[in-house]
Amino acid sequence: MLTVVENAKIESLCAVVSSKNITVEKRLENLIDSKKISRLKKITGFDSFSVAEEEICASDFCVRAAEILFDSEQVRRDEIRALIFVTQTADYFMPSTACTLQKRLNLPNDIAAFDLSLGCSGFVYGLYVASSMLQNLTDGKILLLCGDTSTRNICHDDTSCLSIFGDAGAAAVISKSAGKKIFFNLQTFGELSETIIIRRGAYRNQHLVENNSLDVRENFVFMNGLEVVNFSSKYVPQNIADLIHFAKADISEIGAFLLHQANKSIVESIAAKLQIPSAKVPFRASNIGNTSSASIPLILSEMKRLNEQTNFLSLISGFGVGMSIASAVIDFSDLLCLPTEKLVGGKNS
Amino acid sequence: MKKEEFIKTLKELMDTDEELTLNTELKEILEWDSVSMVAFFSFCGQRLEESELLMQKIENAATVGDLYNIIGAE
Repeated sequence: MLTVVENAKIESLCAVVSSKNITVEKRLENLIDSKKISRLKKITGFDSFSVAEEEICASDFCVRAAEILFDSEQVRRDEIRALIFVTQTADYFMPSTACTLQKRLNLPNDIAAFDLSLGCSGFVYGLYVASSMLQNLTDGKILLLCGDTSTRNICHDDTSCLSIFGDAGAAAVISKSAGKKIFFNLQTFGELSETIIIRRGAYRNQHLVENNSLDVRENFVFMNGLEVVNFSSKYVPQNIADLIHFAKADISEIGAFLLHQANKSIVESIAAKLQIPSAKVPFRASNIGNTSSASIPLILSEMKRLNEQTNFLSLISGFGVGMSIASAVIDFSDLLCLPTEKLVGGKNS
Repeated sequence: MKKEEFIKTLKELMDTDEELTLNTELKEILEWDSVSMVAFFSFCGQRLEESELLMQKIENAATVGDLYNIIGAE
């Protein structure tokens, strides 16, 4: 679905990772030999991972990120009209984590609050929903939170996922801005829904225990890595090319292509297919991992932390579980982007 | 791509010390696994316009020669 939302922008954003960082060698110790680990690192580009402490949920990363934005005094709590929490690792099956976040963030009662169940494409979807909601509001702003603790879903010996996923959360404030446009291209490939899936635990198959054990493969995430690579190469470049055409933009005028940090070779492959200079396609997740819905805001906060320029006309693209792709062309020229913070237990450093 | 150059590149992608020829069976190469498949896929993807059935072709390849044919023998 190609569409444009007018008079909206991301005003500010912040991302938070865990202070607990585990190297790929440590994670894959006793599972595969050091030569294969070295080959994996070359392909994925991940050296170490942000891993949430046991008591930390995705929502905790997001609360910290939101509090940092409120502390920056760019946004007041009473300006928030809606809270959208994008995650696949909610605190509970019910209620919506967004409802608990309204209370935790001391937001007023007269706001809308709901969860969006999406992964790697989730930040862009959240942006689409938030910017669309603004069209019907006379004033106010929308707080978009996104995050995942995907590492909790990994089976202890699943080397494919252990070599990829990390945990993080982010917060962004979406506000009205006269004359600004955000162009979107949203796509869904439900026929590939079993490519990344947790088969048990929800209502289609609640049964978790087998032979008195919970250690059942289907209780954890299954990822068909080759199919993910194939999907990313086959559909994402076309999604982006169609969006650029729809936005009547040109690759040369877009300052940065912020692609979901699935892994380094996927990001490089997409850039090569679109003939985008690699300098415009940052990979900034080497010491964080693939953080699902938080990965796009994390590129920006990492660039900020590294004193790199972030105020460009940019293309953002999230793709993965669903399978789902969501891309947007958005002007970040006046974005307030704060550097990545670390969460130590329940506190940030 | 010339045969010698291809074999050199494939050895680097797989990080293998095995001696390879076009007749070498992939199942005999210890390092021919999903990591190598992804590495080879990325290598091909950056050079080939059409990647519709690329992963399928890589998964179905039985010999080094089959992989050479995917990238385009000269």
